Amino acid sequence: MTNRIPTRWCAVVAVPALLLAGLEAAFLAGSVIAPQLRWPRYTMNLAEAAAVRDTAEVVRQLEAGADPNQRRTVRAGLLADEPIAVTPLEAAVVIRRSELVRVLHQHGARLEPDTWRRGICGAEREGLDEIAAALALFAPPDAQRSCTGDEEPWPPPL
Amino acid sequence: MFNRYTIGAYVLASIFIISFAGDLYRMPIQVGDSMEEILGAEQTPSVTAMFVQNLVQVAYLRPLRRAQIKAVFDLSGGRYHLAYRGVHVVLFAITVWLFVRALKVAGPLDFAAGAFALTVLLGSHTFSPAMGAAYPINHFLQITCYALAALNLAQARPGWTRDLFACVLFVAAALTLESGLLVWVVLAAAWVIGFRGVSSRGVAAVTVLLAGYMLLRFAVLDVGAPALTERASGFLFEMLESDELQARFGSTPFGFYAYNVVSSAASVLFAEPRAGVFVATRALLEDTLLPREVVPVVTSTLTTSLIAAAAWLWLRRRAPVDDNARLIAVFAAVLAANSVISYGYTKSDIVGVAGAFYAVAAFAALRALVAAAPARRPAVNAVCGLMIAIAAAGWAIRTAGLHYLLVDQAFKQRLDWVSPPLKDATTPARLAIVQALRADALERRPAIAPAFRPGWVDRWFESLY
Repeated sequence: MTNRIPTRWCAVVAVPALLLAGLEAAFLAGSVIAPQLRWPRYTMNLAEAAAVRDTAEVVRQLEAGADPNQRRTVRAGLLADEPIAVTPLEAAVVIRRSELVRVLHQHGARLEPDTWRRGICGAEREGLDEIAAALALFAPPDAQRSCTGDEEPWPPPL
Repeated sequence: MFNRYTIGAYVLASIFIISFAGDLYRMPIQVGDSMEEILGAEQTPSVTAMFVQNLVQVAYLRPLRRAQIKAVFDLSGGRYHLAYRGVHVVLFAITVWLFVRALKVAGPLDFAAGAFALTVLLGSHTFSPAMGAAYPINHFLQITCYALAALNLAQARPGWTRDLFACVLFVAAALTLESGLLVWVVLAAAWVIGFRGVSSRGVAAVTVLLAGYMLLRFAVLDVGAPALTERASGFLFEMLESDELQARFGSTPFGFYAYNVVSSAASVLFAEPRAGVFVATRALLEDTLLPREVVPVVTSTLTTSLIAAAAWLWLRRRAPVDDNARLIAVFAAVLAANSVISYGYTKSDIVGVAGAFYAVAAFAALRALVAAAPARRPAVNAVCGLMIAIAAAGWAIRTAGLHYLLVDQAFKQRLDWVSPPLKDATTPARLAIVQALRADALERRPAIAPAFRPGWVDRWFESLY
């Protein structure tokens, strides 16, 4: 009896740790065959990297020569329920990350005068001061910043 | 003596080591607290020069800390990630190995309690900074490693080599970080309670070295101690910046120091507060409580109750001092000393040593309580069993969360390399080092963005505080 009780107790004490170790061992063994199992590598295009706020990946791709103005498809679930084609800058503005907007500007992202006016007017209208300040960097040389209040929003609602 | 249970414990530890070492190695070296030190290593001509240069700093006596960073830099041959992250992985592996060795697993109950204790060590919030902070060398982990080595020495058969090694260990630890003084606490407490691997002469020699350290620090070098305004610190529900601390406690710092000592101890025992801030309580009051706040508090509180119950049973019976009682007593001494050392400001990193000994004490407590189970009433056993089962499950969850923490840290640390500060990169050689580290982080260390993680992990697992 005295031997049996501690054996049951041992199970209570050790089972969670052993289960976890078993899972760890299974993942380790699996990752020998398929490293993706343990450390999944999500391949992202530039717009997707911006959409998930991965500034490091954005910079890596830009420094590798990716076009900051190209429209790319962002997979479903990141910006919208459906796949959607956007530029990295549009993605950065949609998720309201001013530091990304600045990084994209540094690496050559540009806006047409009308798009810029719509973007900055929209940001100001919504009280997004940091985004408006970052978008101000994109001001074209002869830009007219006169907001009428009825500009078509940029980026368009997703 | 090795048997299948001993081997089983080492196999279990090896699985965890290999598993976490992978995450650990993939993390980029962090920018904050690292760039300046690595560039300083490039600038300094030799390890000896670095040691001497750091012998006199305001408030700190840590000459070995940067000397080690310099030594690894010189040995790296330009492969900084391999060298520094490799050292981190090796330190982690040795720490876990020393931990298992200190448990002296010999039977099924030891194995079960050892498995539990491993999750207490790895899942603890006091251990996560030793893993998640990718300094050039994580010296907090190093001190935990030294303290566990001291316990191993104290448990060994007596011999002059142990005494000598204890002295070397103390000097290395004390000159690396202030919390290295805990090596003396481990050796002295272990000797007092009956571990005689390090002899009376050995403990006396280490005590003389401690006195020498104090003399060197306060009389010869006049290094002093950190001031109240040294850095930000937590208080009740908020972090206070150094100027706020000065304004609030400048005239009466002792109340704040007492708060830090008590909150450091409470953090180890109850996982609350964290770095002086009552995070879970605040979340409860704000009605934003998540499992990631509940699980640590519940598991730590249950485990502390089990340790307290084992200690109380031993005191009540006035039984002869056995190894379980010794391990719990050493933990109590380390906890007290580690909390006192944290008087200036409290952080999970600093109480890492107490956290590791807490896991040792949990092992001893479980072993004592389960061994005594047949003599207890069934109702008491049912309550005890339920507490153990909940705690064991909770610690396994917290240990699994260490993967999440490391992945999260890897993402954050990679982000910091987007625009590292270049103020110290004043020569082409130093600029080349920064560029090499940055390229390594950005190009060769892909990280998983939070958006790709399942939502539940953010609710269940903790980030680094």
